Formats: sequence, structure tokens, C-alpha cells
Amino acid sequence: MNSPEQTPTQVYWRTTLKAIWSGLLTAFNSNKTSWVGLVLFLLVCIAAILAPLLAPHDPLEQSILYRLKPPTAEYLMGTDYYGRDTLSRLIWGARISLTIGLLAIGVAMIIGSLIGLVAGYFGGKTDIIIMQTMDVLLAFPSLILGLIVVAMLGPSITNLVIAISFTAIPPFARIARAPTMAIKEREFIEAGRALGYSDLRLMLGHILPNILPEILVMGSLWLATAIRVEASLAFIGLGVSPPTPTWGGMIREGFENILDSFWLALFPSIAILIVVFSLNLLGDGLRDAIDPKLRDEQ
Amino acid sequence: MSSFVIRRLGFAIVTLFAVLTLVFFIVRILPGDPAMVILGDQASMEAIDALRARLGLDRPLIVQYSDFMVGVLSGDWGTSLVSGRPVIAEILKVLPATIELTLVSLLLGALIGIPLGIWSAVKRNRLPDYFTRLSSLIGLSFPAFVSAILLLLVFAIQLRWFPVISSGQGTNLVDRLRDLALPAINLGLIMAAYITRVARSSMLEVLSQDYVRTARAKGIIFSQIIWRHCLLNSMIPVVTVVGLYLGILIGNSVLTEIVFNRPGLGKLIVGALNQRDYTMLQGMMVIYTLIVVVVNLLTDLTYGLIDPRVKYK
Repeated sequence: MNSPEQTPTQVYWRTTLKAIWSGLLTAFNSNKTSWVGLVLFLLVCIAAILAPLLAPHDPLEQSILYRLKPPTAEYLMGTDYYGRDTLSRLIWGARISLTIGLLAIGVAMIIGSLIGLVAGYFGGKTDIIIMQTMDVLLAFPSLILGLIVVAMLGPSITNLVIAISFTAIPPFARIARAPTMAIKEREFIEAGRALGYSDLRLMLGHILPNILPEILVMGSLWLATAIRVEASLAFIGLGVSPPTPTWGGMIREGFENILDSFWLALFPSIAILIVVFSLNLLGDGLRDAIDPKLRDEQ
Repeated sequence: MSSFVIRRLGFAIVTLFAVLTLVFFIVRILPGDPAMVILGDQASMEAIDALRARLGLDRPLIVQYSDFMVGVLSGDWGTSLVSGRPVIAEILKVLPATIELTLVSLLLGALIGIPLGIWSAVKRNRLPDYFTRLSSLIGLSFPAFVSAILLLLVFAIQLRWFPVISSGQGTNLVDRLRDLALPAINLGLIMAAYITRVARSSMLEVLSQDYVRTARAKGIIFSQIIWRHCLLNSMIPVVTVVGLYLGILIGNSVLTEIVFNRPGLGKLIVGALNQRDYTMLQGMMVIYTLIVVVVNLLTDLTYGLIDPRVKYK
């Protein structure tokens, strides 16, 4: 029984959130590798949050005496060309990569899902026009598109978020559209229509919660892509401006000294690989778990 | 068959038109004024206005658009702001190197990915399957520049098996292959990771079909069922995916060319970005559009060749 002081809207949202949560939990439990991915990713997130406590040195502090030092007890991952501690820059750099990735995917997820919802719900010409536009965007290489957008807007966290989310909108629209088309034919939507609910209410209040687990799972896979694209743009020289530490930027600087100080490029490379791999492991396992075609494989 | 080809060609032309329109508007609608991007924040208004006039950006949008389209179709893509040479000539100079790299990588990816995917499907939920799935997941987690740097560190710097700089200018075949080897292995391994996954899931689906069960019930040797009955059927999604992953391959080739200092479209686009060569950037987007549309068309046609049912849909 629901407590008497809860309004029907509160009851609705409580049960909806509970359903989404239990859906994700079932998916997690049916594919154990997802837990490994989640734990790895959370460890990186915790390191990024606790950067001021964990970083042994100031990531921006330069020391000409300690230039290009190999790993030692004091500098566990060595120092860079300006004598800055690589480990500290790596920990602080996680903040930039994760912030840009999470924001970009958050924006793409919201805009893309809404576009997909509208296309799937209304169907007909609206669907054709929207999805053709998405297909055109999808056809273009995302790194090149991101590259041009950042080059025109200028490299900053906001512009990187805009560029990366721009390239990630079409896949979310595709993911949201297909289940919307199936769900809109279900009886509970018919019932909502008969009760005079508006299209907006049906789409956001009744269809969206049902497709949310799929969108969230895809979100984790695309977060991996977003972090990879951000690092790639930073490597090309279109990342957040120095001296702010970013993983891609650190690899770029390390690459310039690769012949005598290979560790500069090696450690941030491993960091990116761990984050992207953990997200792929997480998203892949969850996707397999919620995909009815693949469920039998578990 | 001819109506299928004509229909696909028509679709490709419409897509080309749409993406070119998108390219045109992306360059002009984004808040950064190209003239200001080229000259920098410190430039005077007069200098910016003069450059805007030179680039034709002061004309009405519709006039610019029609000029752009006519230019693209007639092969006049403007002149590079840096070298003063026609953009199309600069692009055509390096295009063969990029095509060579992507084709060899694609071939390598298919040669590794398809057998591995099939092996993984046949040995489903056994050790080879777990190994293949884990390796392919690691493979697609590698940003192309990270794997390129690691290959460079191990095989060019430590072991000295391959040159550090891949000039792509080798005169004899052995030199060319040595130049091409590391960049192609880098892209090929990443492609192999993608292809393995698709080949595996596609083969699993085919293996669950009734006709496979019937063939097994009739006592046909399992390897024969795989080669004669399942292989071609499972290749349809693989071909589609190769077309779909072209974007990833192109993006990765840019990064690979930078790491190995190899001439190609990737190095050209980064050079254009650094030197703020706006006409070159626009030309680069046109060439990428053309490549994507042509490859999608070829993928569709191959799809029709492999699966006769597609033609009649």
C-alpha cells in the first residue's frame, strides 16, 4: 500500500524509477562482467573526485631541475618536459576527460532521445524527415565532424562538449525510435489516449521510462566513445588549452619526447585504455543482458 | 538488377546532396566567423572584411550556396589559403596514400576478424570464445593513436624492425611495405576487433537456423556445413558493418597518419587546421563526404550481390 500522503504523480514516479532500477539491476546480475566494468569505472571516478587529496604534487607546478625524470619513488610516473609530476597530472586529467565525456553524452542522450521519441511516436513524414537527417549526420565520420566543429568554435570545455554531443545525437535518436514505435501501439498508451492525455505526457511520462534502460546502456558505450574522441581531439591539438592537464594532451606532449622519455606517453595511454575498456565492458554486458536476441547466449 | 543499381545510385546522389548542404552550413552557421578564425582575435575589422570579401563570405547565403555546389560538381574547390595551389590538386596528391592505407587495413581486418569471429561462434561459451571476445573488446577500446604509439614504441623504437617515420614514398616494393606495415597493422587490428564481433554474432544467428539443424541431422560434416552453408550467409551483416565502420576507419586513419608522420588526408586536414586554411578544410569535408557516399553505395551493391533477396525488396 502506498502511504496516504503521496500524490498519484509521486506514486507514478516512484514505481517508474523502481522499475528502471530493477531493470538495470537484473541486467547487471545476468552479466557479471558488467560489474567488473562498473567497479573499474567507479574507481577512476573516485580518483578524479578525490584528485586534490590523491595527487602527490601540484599538477601545474614546474621544476626545471626535475625535467623528464624517469619514474622514481618521489615521482612514481616520472616528470614531463616542464618538470611537472605525471601521476598528479594523470589524476587531475581524469576530471577533464570524465567531465567532457559525461556532459557530452548527457546532452546527446537528452536531445537524441527526444528526437527519436518524436520520430517514433508521430511516424509518417515526421519520422522520414527526422531519420533521414540523422542518417546523413551518421554518415559523416564523427572525429572529422568533431574536429571541424572545435576548429570553428575554438577549443574549450563547452565547445568540446558541443562538438562531441553533436556527433553522438544520431545514434541516440536511432536507439530511442525503434522501441518507441513498438510501445506506442501497446494498450496502456491507447488507454492514456482514451483518457485524453496529451502526446507530450504520453511520450515523456509513459513511453520514455520504458525505453530508458536501453538508452542508459547505450549511454555507457557512447561515453567510452566520447572519452576516446576527446582524447583524440586533444592529441591533435584541439583539446582544452594547456597547462590544464588532459590525457590526450599529455600523450601529445609525451609523443614529442617519445625517443628519450617514453613513460610520458605510456601512462596516460594506459589510463585511457582502462577507462574506455571498463565502459565497453560495462555497456557491452548490459546490452547483451537487455537484448532479447542475445539473452540466450548468457 | 539494373533497377536496383539505379535506385541505389539515386539514393546516393540524394545523400551526397544532403551531406554537402550540411558541410556548407556547418562551416557558415557555426558561431566562429571563418575570416576571424583565419586571422585571429587581434585582426583589425578592415582585414577581416577584406578576407571575407576575398572568400566571398560577404555575399548572400543563397549565392554562396549555389557557387559552392557548382564549384564542387565542376571540380573547382577553391585554392588553398596557405600554398595558393588548387585544393583539389593538394587533396589528389595525398589521396592515394590514404586509400592504400585504408584498403590494406580493411583487408587485414577482414583476414583476421572473419576467421576469428567464426571460430569464436563455433566454440561458443568455451575458452576460445572468451579469449576472442575479450581480445576484440580490448581492441575496440584502443584509441587509434594510443595503439599506434605503443606499436611505434615496441616495433620501431625498441626492436627497430620498422622505420619510425612512415614516409609512404618508398621506391621499391619492400620499402613501401615496410613503410605501410605498422600503420596498416594498427588500423587493421582495430578493424579486426569490430569485424570479429559482427562475424561472431552473425555466425551464431546462422548456426541457429533450421537448415543448419537439418544439415547436421543429415550427417553432413560440421566443417562442411560452416564453409558451404553458413559462411556466405553470415557475411551479409559483415559487409554492411564494414561500410558503417568506414567513419571510424577514416577517423582512425587521421590519427595513425599523424603518429607515423605518413602523408595522407589526415596529415593534410591537421595541417589545414593548424594553419587555419579554411578553403582546404571545406575541400577536405567534401572529399570525406564523397568517400563516405561512394563506399556506402559500394556496400549496398555488394550487399545486393551477396544476397539476391535484397535486389527484389
